Amino acid sequence: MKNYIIILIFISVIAGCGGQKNPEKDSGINLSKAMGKVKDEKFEKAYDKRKFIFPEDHGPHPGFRTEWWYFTGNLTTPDNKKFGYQFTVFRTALSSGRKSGVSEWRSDQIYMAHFTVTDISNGRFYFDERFSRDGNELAGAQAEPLKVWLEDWQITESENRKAFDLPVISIKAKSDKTEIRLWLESVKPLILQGNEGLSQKGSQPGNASYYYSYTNLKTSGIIITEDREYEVNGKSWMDREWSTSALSEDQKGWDWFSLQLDDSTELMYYQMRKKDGTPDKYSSGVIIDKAGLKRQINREEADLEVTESRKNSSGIEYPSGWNLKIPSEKIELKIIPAVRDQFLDVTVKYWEGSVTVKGKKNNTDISGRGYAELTGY
Amino acid sequence: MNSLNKSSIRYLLKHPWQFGLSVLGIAMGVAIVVSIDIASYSSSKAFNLSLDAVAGKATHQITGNSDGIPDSFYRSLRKDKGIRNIAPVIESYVSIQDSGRRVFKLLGVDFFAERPFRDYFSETDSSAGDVFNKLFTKPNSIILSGENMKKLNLSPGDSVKVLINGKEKYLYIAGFIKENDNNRSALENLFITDIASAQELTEKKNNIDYIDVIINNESEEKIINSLLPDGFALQKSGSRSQTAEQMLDAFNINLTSLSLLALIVGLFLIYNTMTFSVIQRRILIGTLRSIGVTSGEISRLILKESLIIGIAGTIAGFAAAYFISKYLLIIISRTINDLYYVVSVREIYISPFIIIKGISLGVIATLLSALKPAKEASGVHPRSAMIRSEQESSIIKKIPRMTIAGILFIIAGAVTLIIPSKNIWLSYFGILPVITGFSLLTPLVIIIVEKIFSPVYKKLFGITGKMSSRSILQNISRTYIAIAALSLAVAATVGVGTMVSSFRSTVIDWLETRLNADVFISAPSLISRRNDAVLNEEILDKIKAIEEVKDYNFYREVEIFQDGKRYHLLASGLSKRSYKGFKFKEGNPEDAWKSFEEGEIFVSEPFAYRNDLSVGSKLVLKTDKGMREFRVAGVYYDYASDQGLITIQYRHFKEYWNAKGYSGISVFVKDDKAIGTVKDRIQSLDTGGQQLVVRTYKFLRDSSVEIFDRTFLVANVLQILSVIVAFIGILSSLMSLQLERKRELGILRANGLLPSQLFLMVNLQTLLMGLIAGLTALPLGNILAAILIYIINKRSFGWTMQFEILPGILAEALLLSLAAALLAGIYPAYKMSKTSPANALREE
Repeated sequence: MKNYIIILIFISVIAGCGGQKNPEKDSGINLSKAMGKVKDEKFEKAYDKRKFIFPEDHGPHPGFRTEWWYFTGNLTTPDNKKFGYQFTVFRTALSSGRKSGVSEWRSDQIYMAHFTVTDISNGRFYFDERFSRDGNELAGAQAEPLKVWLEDWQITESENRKAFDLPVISIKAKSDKTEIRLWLESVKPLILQGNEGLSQKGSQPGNASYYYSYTNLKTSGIIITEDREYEVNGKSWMDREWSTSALSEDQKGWDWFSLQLDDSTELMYYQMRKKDGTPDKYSSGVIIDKAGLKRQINREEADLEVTESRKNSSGIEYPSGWNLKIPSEKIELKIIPAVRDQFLDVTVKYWEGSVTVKGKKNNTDISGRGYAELTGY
Repeated sequence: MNSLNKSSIRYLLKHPWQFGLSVLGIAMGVAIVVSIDIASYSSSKAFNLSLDAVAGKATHQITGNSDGIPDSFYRSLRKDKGIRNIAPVIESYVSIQDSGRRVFKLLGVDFFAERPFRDYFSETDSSAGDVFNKLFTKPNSIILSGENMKKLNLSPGDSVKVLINGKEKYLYIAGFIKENDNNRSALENLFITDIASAQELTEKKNNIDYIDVIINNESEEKIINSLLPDGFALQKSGSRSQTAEQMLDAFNINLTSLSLLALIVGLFLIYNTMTFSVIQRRILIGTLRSIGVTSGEISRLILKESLIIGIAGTIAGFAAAYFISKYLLIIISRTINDLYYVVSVREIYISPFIIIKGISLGVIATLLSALKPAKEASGVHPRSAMIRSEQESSIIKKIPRMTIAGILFIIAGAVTLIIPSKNIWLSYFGILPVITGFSLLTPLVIIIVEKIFSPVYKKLFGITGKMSSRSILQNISRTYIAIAALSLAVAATVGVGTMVSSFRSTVIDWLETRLNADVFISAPSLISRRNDAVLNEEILDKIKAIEEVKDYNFYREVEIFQDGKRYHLLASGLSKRSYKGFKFKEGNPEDAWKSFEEGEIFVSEPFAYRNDLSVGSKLVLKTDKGMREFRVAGVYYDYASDQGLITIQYRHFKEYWNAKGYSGISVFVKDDKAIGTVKDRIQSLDTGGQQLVVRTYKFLRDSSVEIFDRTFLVANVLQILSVIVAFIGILSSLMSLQLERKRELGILRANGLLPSQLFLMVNLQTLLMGLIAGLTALPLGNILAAILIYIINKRSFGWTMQFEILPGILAEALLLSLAAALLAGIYPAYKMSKTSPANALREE
């Protein structure tokens, strides 16, 4: 479900390319208005369940308006320094028609990528963004061999070996002060989110996305910050989603969590917030057990309570502590950001960062790490 | 105010004509210099602004081969090497067909790479998302400034028909950019489009023109340099505007010098006026001195007067310059477009330097030229002031000395001029002593001419005639200055006129030899003298296939940027029958052609001059295969470009350069076939949308001459303005001269001279002065022409021209000086003849 607002605001502000925007005005972009621009009915939409086919579905679906390849992870060095990272490539189509014209640059597919590193031990957060067209092969995506790239920020198939339909992946990204070179291999099968991969976003037909996740990818590699190189190991989470959907008029944003618990289970939960601040009924989640089996969590089963809030450097108030209770699963978790300010002050601004989890599950103590995404504040 | 100043002001007010004409003379001189400065400064400023607009914040540019930079190279920099802060650019010109053929620069960019470079893109109108979307998804969409959109009477959603590289295309207005103070001048001349549209519109298949780069330190520069393939270069952003400025250097210097010529005439005028004002007031000054006014006070008084004249003239001059420069700007930018590059100037720019220069010329030069009269005034002895004849006799005594000084001056000038140097200023500087020398010879000429004409005048007009010719001699201290000023002005017109005519006939001769084919084909070009658009190679095949075509030539012209210089390389596919069109300055034609066919190069005369080349020299050129050395096989006469040309055989060109297409094709028609038929056939060829400019020999020759004439239009304008200044000068001095003779003429009238006799006498006198001026102007004018042709032009552009003495121009010059003198004499003559003797005799 993630990043809806991001991609849509991205489309509307991208044209301003480099214009200094008022952050308040940015976060205040009316969602339904931004999405109201999606008038091109020729885009494909997610009406019905589909049969996912791999490796094809790891590649792009240009008939749909938006799509993303989304990686987050929490990593640790041998001497226990902790890091988090996010690497996301977004694709958006400006039109559904085939491109016309002979130029190599001719393109209607736009790519955006976000790259962040959280140096938890030093309390620092690095972020960067990029845009490009797929013209002249400056950016793009393909299923086989798997490759998703925006210039030299690249997700590539590093070995021919596959685990649970996913090849071993390498992620490379570099910005001014930080760099990652990571290798990822799934240790659990993919799960189809929502109703067998069809994730409903609103009541209208087609207002839905196709959505699958790999919730536990064994990760190793190198992180460089401020010219210091660290060898790291840990877990990553991968989300894949594509759609041509629109948000309902009364939805404002969401709080989204992907949590990897120490008992090798994972929990994802997102809560859509309505304009009046109350949770939307389309909020939902999923629990994945050790074997990789999932159980859907619906809105009524979960209770997400904000325990703390805090203004970030741009003066926007974000939650900075939650209690998540799922009584049916005997789960009670306290979630706090690993570093307070993990706000992406980029073209489309939002909060996304590493979190730590402590609490009880089945009456025993449990801890874990994860990622949270907060939009619409 | 003390009574001295009062007397000064009274004097100026009592002589409004004299005062007004002096002010006018200075004003004209200042106006010409300043307006030329403004016009050339504005045109180069406009050009630089358009370059800056395009360069944005780029510190450097990566330039590629003759056909640009492959998309894949840019991709590899970003994708494989991770180089950021680079942006691809495609640049072209479009002319709008139905709106007075206005020319815009079409800038094709990748909006995603633009952010660090050109920030004025941030201000689009409120529907930014839509505009952006259209730029991407609708081919040939552009954005432009709101002002331009309004001027072109367009609105978003409209289409506009344009010509790009000779092909008609439609551009779609996706939206507009709001102007603000930062982007206004940058957007003035710009259409912005997506790089994909630009590539499609310009048909640059898989190539971009250059890559903008921001480099912050040397290590970044090193990295990029290490990634460049052969033939690619990393150049500082400013280097493009620098080469453009270099191109115009000689052109601008010559414009400035021409304008200075007008000022020199103006200075003569001031000198003249101030000298008169002193002479006229000798008695007054003598009286003042005798009642105790010091010589210092007198000299300050004169300088103060000249300061007033100088300031008034300068202010009026600036005001006039504002209007004249607008007109000159049109002519000059037209010439720049004809000869050098595309520029569109819509605003007048003035630099502080122009203002300072104008003020110093107007005020300081006036003061300087008043120094001598001021010194003369202060030197007036109270007693001798009453004796007029003393002054005249002192001049007569000085004549031998003046003559010797004049000859020395001319020799000094000649020496300065023969100093071998490429410095144009030095050459102009050498003209000054020549002019001064000639002026110093004027009194001698007056004496000689008077000796000859006195009997003739006496015979023709009796005593009136004799008196009129004698009085020139009697008043020689004043008449010689007036005659010298007129002579100089006329000589300037003879010099410039002879130079232009000589140049013109040289060019026509050259055109007639060079353009030895029957029909000439090119794509519509925005620069008249050069074909910047390219024809497809298939077009030649189609032309070859035309039955009536006997033979053909073709060529491809490319620009090479290397070491901050811009070279024009002409790759010629010449048929043997066109070899005779080349006339060599150096090199035996037979050997030269043989070496040429083996891959050696020819250079044109200006190119050889600029780069110190001769037959056998080696020239290193930046080819698409890296730096290569070529031997010069011949230096040929060519007047197509003052920048000079390098010619290489097409076959050898293709070994080193990738550039495709042809810049021009010419064909020979079979002897028994009509040229018109071939022209029609070519025009009706299916060219796939490519517009062709098909010209016959005669038409091309005539239009080339037309461009030539247009180029020298500015010289003509300046010439006319100089004549006007000279005319004002002669009018002012003759009027003063005659008005000053009021008493003398009054006595004559009292003694029985009829008003008609007086009228005749004054006119005969000015006519004779005109004749003397005209006669001295002829040799001086031809000497000036020779200096312009053999020294100035040669040093500025490296061209050899045939010097022609043109009887027409000489006759015109004589007529001009006679007419000017006569016209200037009529009013005083009329006024004097109408004055009653009693009034004329009354003392002030």
